[in-house]
Amino acid sequence: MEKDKHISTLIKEEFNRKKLPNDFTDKVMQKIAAEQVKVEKPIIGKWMWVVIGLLCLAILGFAIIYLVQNYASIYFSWNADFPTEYFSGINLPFIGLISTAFFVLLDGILRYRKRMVR
Amino acid sequence: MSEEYILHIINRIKSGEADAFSDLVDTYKDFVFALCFKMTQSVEDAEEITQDTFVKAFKSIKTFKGKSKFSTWLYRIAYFTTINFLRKNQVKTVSQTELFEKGFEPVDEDESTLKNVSQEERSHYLNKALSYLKPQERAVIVLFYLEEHSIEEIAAITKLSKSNTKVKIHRTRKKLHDILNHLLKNEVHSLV
Repeated sequence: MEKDKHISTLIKEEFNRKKLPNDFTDKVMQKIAAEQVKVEKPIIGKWMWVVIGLLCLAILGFAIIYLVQNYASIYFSWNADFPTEYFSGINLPFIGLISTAFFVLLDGILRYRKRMVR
Repeated sequence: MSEEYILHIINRIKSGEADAFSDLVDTYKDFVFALCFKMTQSVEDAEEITQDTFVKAFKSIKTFKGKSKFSTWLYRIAYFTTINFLRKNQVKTVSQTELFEKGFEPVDEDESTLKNVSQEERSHYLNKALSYLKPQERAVIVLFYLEEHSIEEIAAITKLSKSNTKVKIHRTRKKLHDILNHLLKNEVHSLV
């Protein structure tokens, strides 16, 4: 397609008249740096979520087993063969104490990491 | 700056050298600004949009695969950022019909009239004429005349089909000529 010489010259003349300030590139780079800081790494990473998830599942599992161990004989009295003896060694209060300590420690680590990110 | 060198800079940015991006800003800032300025017709808005364009480009540079020229990819971001800005801010342009309703009569194209006015005046008339075009039409004009992009590249930037782009350029050029001639004729009448 043939270009119109006059319009082309006019647009090019106009292009040379309007310029950005000299510090424009610096401003853009500052904005980019600011945006990069805003994109913080998540406090809890992927693997930490896996560990927390597994731990929650374990606690839930232990709680169920504990309940079964203590109350199965009442609810399942019609079935004398229910294997309650397999769960007799579980100490739920001790597991609860360990879990609480773990979560208190985790909370402390997360608070520390959040402070470091800021 | 050659396309190979630009790809080299992009690879450096992708591998974590964010500072290398300043070379791309320096290379393309004036053309991006020209496109945004012609579309918005406001220096302040154009500067803001140009900044946003580069920030967006930096954030999504990992998606640039090098299938098209970097400039095409960057201008596409600038074009759509400006379109979104104008849509959000509801910037209204005066239509050509409204211009004619104001009492301008059509005249035959006379390029010599444009040649006879000073640079200041030419710039004034050009901006006035461009203000009667739609932002999309202004963008097409800038890409076609200033950057001398091919029809294929303009189509890639504006996401129009090749044939649509060709028609749009043709119509917009005709429209711009008509408006410039109307404006110049009116000026001649006011001087007489």
